[in-house]
Amino acid sequence: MKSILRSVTIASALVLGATMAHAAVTDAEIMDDAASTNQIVTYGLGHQGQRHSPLSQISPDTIKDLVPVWSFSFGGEKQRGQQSQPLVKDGVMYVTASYSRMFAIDIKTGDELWQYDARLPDGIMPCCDVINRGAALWGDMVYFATLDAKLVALDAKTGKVVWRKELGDYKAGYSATAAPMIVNGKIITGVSGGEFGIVGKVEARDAKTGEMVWSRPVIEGHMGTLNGKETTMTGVKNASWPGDMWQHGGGATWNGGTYDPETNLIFMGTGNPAPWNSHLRPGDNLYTTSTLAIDPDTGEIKWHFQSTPNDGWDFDGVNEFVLFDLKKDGKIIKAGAKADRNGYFFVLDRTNGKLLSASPFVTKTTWADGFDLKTGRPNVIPANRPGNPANTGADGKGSSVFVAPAFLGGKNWMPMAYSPATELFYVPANEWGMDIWNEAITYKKGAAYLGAGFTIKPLYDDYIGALRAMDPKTGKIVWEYKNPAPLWGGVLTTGGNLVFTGTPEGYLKAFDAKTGEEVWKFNTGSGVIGSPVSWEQDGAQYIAVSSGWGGAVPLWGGEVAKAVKDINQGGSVWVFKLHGK
Amino acid sequence: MGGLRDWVLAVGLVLAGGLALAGVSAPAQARPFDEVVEAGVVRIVVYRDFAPFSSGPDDAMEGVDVDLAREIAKGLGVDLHLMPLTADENLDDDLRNAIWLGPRVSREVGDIMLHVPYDQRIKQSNSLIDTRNEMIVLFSPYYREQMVIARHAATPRLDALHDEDRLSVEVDSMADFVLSGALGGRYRDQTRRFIALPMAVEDLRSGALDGVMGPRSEVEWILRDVPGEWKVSAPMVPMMGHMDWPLGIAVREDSRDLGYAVDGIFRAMMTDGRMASLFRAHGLTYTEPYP
Repeated sequence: MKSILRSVTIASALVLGATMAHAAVTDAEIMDDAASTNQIVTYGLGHQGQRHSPLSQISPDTIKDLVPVWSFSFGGEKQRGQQSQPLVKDGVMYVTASYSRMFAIDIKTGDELWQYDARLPDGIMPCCDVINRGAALWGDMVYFATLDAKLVALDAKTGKVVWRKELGDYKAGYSATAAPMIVNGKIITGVSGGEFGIVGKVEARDAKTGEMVWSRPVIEGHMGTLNGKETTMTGVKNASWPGDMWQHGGGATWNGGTYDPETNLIFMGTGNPAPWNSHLRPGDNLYTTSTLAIDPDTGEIKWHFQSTPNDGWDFDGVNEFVLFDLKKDGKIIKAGAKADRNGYFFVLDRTNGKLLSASPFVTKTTWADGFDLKTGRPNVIPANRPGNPANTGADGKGSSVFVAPAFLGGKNWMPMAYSPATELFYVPANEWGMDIWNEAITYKKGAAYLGAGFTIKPLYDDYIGALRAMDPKTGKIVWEYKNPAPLWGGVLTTGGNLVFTGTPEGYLKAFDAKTGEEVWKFNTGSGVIGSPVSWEQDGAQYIAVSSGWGGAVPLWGGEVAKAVKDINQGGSVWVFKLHGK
Repeated sequence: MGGLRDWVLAVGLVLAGGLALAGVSAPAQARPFDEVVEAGVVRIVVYRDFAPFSSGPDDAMEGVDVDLAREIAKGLGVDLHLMPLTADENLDDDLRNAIWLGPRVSREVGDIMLHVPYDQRIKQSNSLIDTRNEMIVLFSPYYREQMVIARHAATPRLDALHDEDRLSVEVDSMADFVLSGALGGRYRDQTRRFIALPMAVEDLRSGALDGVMGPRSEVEWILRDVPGEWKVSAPMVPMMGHMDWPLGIAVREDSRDLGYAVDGIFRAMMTDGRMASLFRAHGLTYTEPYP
C-alpha cells in the first residue's frame, strides 16, 4: 500500500510540473518589474529597489480580512536564518532558504514543484549565519549564489543545474549570500568574505553561459578585466592606502546592487576595510564603505560616494542605493537614497554622485557631527574613534570608547522601501551602541594577536528596532513604529497605502503608510527577517514572506541577546490574501 | 598505562559527582575519557594549511601536531580520527567550531583540539565580569612559541631594523601589526604582507625580501629552503617587550578527565625527551612551555 501511495504522489507531482508553464523571462520584463503586478522577477520588485507594489486591493480598510492561504516548510533540520525575498512567475514561487537551498512552489496549492540543495563543503566560514537573500530570473533559468561562493543557474522548470561558476575561493574566505541581478542578459554579482585577506569585486557574466564578461575589484590598485583582457586600474595605486595593504584591503560587495535604466548605471555598496585597526592604514582606503556607480557594459567606475572614510567602526557601506525622483523646488532630480550602517540617510544625485543631503535616521551618531555637503565628507569626532593599540599600556588594554550606532549598524542588510504615492522612505532602523576597546588577550591560529573587544548595548529600555518613515526632501522623520527586538527584515510598500515588515517576535505587520498606525499583524511562528512581496493572481492580491529567525543578531549577543533569547528558529514561507478573493 | 587510567577514572568520578550535586546534566555530545576508550577512537582537531604543524591534503596530513595526535591515540590505546579545521577569525571562533558546537555545515565536534594557547585569560572577557569560552577547558602546555625576526643580521630590538629593510609577514597577524604600527608606523610602507608565510619563500630566495617576522616555528620552517646565513632573533618590541606564549590543548568542560589523560602522555614525552626529538625531526627548535 505504501509503495502505491508513493508512486501516485510522484506521478501527480510530475503532472503538476508539466502543467506549470513557465514562459521565458525577457530583459524587457525585468526592466518593467516595478510597474508590473502579475509577477516579481527581480530582487527589490524592480531594479530601482523601491520594493513598491502598485496593487491596492489590500488597504487599511480591507486588511482585516487578510488571512493565510498556505504555509510551506523548508524542512530538514536547517531551521534558521530565512532572509530571502520570493520571486513569482506564471503561478510559481521561487524562494531560497538557509544553507543554500531553493524551492519552486505552485502558488495555487502550495505544492512543491522541485527543491535544490547545494552540497556545501565543511570548511565554509560564513561570517553572519547560513542565510541567502534571494534569486534572479532570466530566460528559462533561475539563479542564486551559495555559501561556498558559487553562482548556480538552474532550469526553472526542473531545478536541474545548467551551469555553476566560482565567484571566489571559499577556502580563502569568500562566500556569497546576496541575490544576483540581471542587466540586459548579464548576471551581476558581488561577493561576501571575512574580515581579512579578501578583496571585494563586482562581476558580470553572460547569463546564458556563465562566462565572465567583466570583473571590477573595488580596492584601488587592482586591475579590472573585460572579455579576458585587463582594462583599467581601480582608482590610483597608493593614493589612499599605505604600502601593499591595498592587496588585502577588504571592501566586500556582499549585499547586491540596484540598476538604473535611465542613466545605465549599476549601484553597488562596498564593505569595511581591513585590517580592523584604522590607525594602521592612514588614508581614505578607497573604495571601501562606498557606493559605486558602474557601467554595466564595461565595468568602469563612473562615480563613487564614500560614507565612512578610513572606517574604524566597522560601518560597512553596503546598504542598498534606492532610486527615486526627488521633487524639489519645482524640479525633478534623478536621485538615489541610502540608509547607511553609520546612521546617516544620504540622498545623492544619481547621475554624478553629488551629496544632496545627509540626515541621521537614528537618535545617536556619536562618531560624526553631520556631513559637509560641499566636500561630501563626515565631520568626524576624533575622540570617538577607537584608540590606537600601538599606544596601548603594558597590560595591552587601550581606552574604551562608546560609539553609536553599534557595528551592526543604524540599518544592516535589510532593505528599506520607497512609496511613490507618499514620497516617503520606510527605513528599518535599530537603536544600539557599542563599547569598543583594544583587547589585551586574543589569539589567532595559535599566535598572539591584537583584536578589538566590543559589547553591543541597546540605547533604550523599551525598544531597539524602529521602522521610520523618512521624508527625503527634508530629512525629517514623519512617523515611527518602535519594536522591542531589533528589526532585521526587509520592507514593502503598496498602492493600498500600506507598509509591511516583519519582526523577530514572529509577526508580519502592516502599517498605514501615511500615519504609521499599525493596522494588521500575524504571527508566523518564528522570527521574520525576510523581505515581503506582493503580486496579483486570479483577481486576488497576494502577500508573501519567509519566516525563520537567525542571521547576525543571535550570533553577536551582548545585552541585545536578552531581547531575542526566547525566539524560536524556523524555516517556512507564508502566503496571504483577502478572505473570499 | 593501567595506573594512569585508574587515576583518571577517579578524577572523573569526583567531577561527575560534583556536576550531579550542582544539578547539571552532561550534554549528549560530551566525550569524556570513558566514552572515547569505549568507542575505540579519539577525534583530534588540528588546523588546516598550517605547516609545520598540520598541512597537506585532509586525508594525508603531516606535521608536528599530526605526530602528537598519533601519540595521544597510541597513549589512550584507541584509533585516531583527525579532524582538519579551517582557522576562523580568532581563537574563540575556533574553539566553538572545534570543540563545543562544530562547523556550520557538519556540526561535528572533536574531543581534543591541539595548538591552543595555554592562557587562562582567554576565559575572561575584557570587562573581567563576563566569562567567555565557558564550554572549554585548557590543558597540557607542550611547547612555547615565540615571535621572531629572521634576516641576515641580528635584531635584538625592533629599531635595529633598517628603514629600507623589506620584511614579510602574514597579513593581519601580530607581526603585521608590529611592523605596521610600532614606532609610528616607521616600517609600514615597505612591509610585504602575504596570506601565508610560505608564499614569501620565492622572494626571500631571490633577495626581493630581506627577512621575515612571525612565530619561530613557522619562520624556521620556511627558511629550511632558503639558502644563506639567517640570524633568528626575538626582538624587544616597544610597549610589548618579548612576545612568547605556551601552546596546549582544549577539551570540553565536561571532558576534563580526557585532558588529564593527554597531560599524562605529554608529560611523559617531555620528561624522556621524545617531545624535543619530535620537534627536531621536523627541523624545529623545541622550547619547553615553562623555562
